[in-house]
Amino acid sequence: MKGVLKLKISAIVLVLLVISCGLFESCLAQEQSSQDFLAAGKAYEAGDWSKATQIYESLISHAGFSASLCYNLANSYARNGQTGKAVLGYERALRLAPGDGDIRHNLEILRQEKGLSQGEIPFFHKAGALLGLNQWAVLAAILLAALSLIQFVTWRIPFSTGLSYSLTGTCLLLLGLSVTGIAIQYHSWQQAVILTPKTPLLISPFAEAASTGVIEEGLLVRVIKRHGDYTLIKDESGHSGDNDSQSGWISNTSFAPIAITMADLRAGNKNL
Amino acid sequence: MERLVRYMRQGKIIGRIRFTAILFTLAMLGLVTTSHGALSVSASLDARRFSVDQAATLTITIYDADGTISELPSVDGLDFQQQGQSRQKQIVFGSLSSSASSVSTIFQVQASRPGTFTIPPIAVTIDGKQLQTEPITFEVTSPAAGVPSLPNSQGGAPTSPSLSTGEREQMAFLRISPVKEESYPGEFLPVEIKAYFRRGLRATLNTQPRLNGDGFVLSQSKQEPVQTEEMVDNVPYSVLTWPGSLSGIKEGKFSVSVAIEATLLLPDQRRRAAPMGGDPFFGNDPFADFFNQQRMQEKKIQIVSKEMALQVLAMPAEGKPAGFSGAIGKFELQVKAQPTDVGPGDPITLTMTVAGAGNFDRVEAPVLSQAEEWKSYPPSVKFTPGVSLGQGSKVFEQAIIARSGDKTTIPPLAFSFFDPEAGKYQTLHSDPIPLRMSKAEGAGKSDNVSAANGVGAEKATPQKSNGGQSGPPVAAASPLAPLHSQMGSLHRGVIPLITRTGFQILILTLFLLLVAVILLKIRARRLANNPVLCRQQEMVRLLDLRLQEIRMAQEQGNSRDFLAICRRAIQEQLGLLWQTGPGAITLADLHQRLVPDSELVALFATAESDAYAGHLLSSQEMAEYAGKLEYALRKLQ
Repeated sequence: MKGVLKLKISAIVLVLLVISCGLFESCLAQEQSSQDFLAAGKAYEAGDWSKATQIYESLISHAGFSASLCYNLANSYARNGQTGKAVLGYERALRLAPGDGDIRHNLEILRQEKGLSQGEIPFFHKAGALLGLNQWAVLAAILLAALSLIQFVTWRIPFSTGLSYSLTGTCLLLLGLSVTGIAIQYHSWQQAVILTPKTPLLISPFAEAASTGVIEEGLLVRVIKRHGDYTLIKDESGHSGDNDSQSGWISNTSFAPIAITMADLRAGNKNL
Repeated sequence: MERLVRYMRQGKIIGRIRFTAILFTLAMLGLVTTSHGALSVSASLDARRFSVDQAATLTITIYDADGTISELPSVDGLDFQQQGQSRQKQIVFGSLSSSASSVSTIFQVQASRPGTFTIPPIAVTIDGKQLQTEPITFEVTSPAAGVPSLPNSQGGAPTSPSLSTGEREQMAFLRISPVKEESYPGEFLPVEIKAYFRRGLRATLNTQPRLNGDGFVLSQSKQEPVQTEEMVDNVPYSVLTWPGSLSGIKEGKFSVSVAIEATLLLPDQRRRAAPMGGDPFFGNDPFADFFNQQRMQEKKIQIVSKEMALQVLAMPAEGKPAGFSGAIGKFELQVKAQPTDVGPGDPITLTMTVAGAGNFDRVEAPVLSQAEEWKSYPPSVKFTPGVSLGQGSKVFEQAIIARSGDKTTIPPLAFSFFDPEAGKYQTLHSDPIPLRMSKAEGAGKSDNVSAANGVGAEKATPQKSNGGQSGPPVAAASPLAPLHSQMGSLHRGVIPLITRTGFQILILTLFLLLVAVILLKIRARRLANNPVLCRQQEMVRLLDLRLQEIRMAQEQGNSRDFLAICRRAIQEQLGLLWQTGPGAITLADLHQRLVPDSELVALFATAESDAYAGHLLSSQEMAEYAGKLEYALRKLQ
């Protein structure tokens, strides 16, 4: 009996030790990340934007993405003259924190200065941008739960039919709006940003193909299809309108998608 | 004597009659013999003039004998196909022995080209004797001959150049027009490709027009071809028109043509053989056309235009401007600037419009003279196509910033192109645009002036390094919002919530929950509105209740209560079933409404008689009774 008790105590102590080690390591990593974050900020303020970008990039690849990290990195890129990567950083930051005024402001300034006009944004896109995709998704989940609750309550408890219909109708209307918002916002998550200046738009997916024009660094594009080292894209910056916006094949290294996972990043599939 | 004379006269008459009859018989015999002896054969064609897409019927008839056609002659451009045989018998004077017969062999004759043809004599062997038909000459016309011509004034369809020899014989042909015979490499040659299909033809295009030949590329509009009607040599055609352009890619002389593949759906116009031989009776039957609509044949064709000889000239080296980007055509330049009232370091947007006709893919943004005094950013480009292919306008929007604060004008912009008509290079210059530049306030806003900016605590220090820089940096004076001081919550990626598995499971669960609640609610509502279902539920509920009471009475050994509850249970179940009050149900009702050998009748009678007689049941009897009752009542449900 004593032996069994001792074994149990040893096991518990071992588990606690492992947990403590994990927590300690996590705390250390967090501390290191905080220090790196501060060091990057100092480098930025000192005008050493290349160093700042390096630290922010390293932080993201180790710790993960946050709206502030993406935003600070984008600021560093912007100061360093890397317009495409700066736009990409701001766009990613906006996806994580759609309501952040600083991100919107800096992205607008950058686009103005670089002549990356966005054109007229359609009304329904503006309406869809009232909330971010994740916010629309959470709202939709809440509304689904509310609908279930309303149906259950009106089934089990005698309820006014008019009130029941009003609540159900309102929930369904809001759910419809949420789904529309999700559809509009999801489209913006599928966009990518051109990273190289004057990227030639080729008529076919090979290097020797004729060019139909160039697309500027920092413009938003939509990926249509891929073929080997080339991707067919369509200009989504909106200044050309939907019907006559440019499209063509560009090298896979000339752009980066806004949506990215840590796995993609570590596998080196996508540009940071 | 008179009798004798009369007799003789009668004999004379009779003799005359006999003589006449003999003469007639001999004459008839002679006729028959003649007809039997003159073996003959004939050939006929039902039409002596028909078009290439039709066929005629050749009938070879052998009279009064069985014969064989030795061999059909071979005629270049003609094809014979045997369709069948028919026999005819003609009865003469009601006697089969004196009848005439004929055997007709029918062939379908089709020509592969228009022209005049002669079917030479055809040899037929009859009873070892060889006979020949007469030669038949006929004309095969091109398909146009079969289409009625329409007056131009009525049809209103435009007319096109006359049909050439090759086109006249075709049901469809292709034209490409107009093309300059000489051009320069990269020059945009607008062309119009027209596919002519004889009106009424049903055709499906299998390919887009493609260019045969080297040295040129054909660009086509993404639009669908325009379909029109045209008259060519008074023949109506359905015409498909594609706008396109040819561009020479290397110097030299080239021969090119345009081809397209199509499938024609042709009515099977072969005439059906007349059932009785000879000219087909139903040859012009309107119903024949109606039934032929069911029989269509597909014919795949390739239509090729005539070859064109084109020459691509070398671009002159003399007078080539430094900023020439390869634009060839006729262009105009218009430049606007906004705003023109600026402060030092303020960006000015130049809107440069190059409009005209030519190879716009080679048109690049006009170049600012004195460019070193201005900082310029990459222009955005928007091309608006014109009404016809090759025409349009390309608008460049470019931000420029004066490097010094003393500018009074935006210098002219230059755009160079090659004019193929004049055969020389041309350079367009815009007019200088007046500029009002206000004086700098304190520290200049220009990016070549180091100054504190208004961005939080940021300091506008000179840039130390710019590794991987692909363009000019955002001016240090730019009012960028400051960095965020908190790192914020970290995520494993910038991916939308809806693509995460956990969230998808949550949504699915909530959805299934909603569906389940709605289904349950619907079921409850249906149950509430269905009297049969309600009654069944009530029967089950009451029976369970009574069985529970029966078991209690059984356990207590209370025979009186046991029997009373049993009676009540039967009454309740039957009352619900018959929709009457349970108390009103008597043994007489059971006898009346249930089958005589029903177990319930027996159980009810036992319960009543025992209760009235005061007979007490043993535990075993009660158990046995309860078992039978439960079985009978469950069965009732």
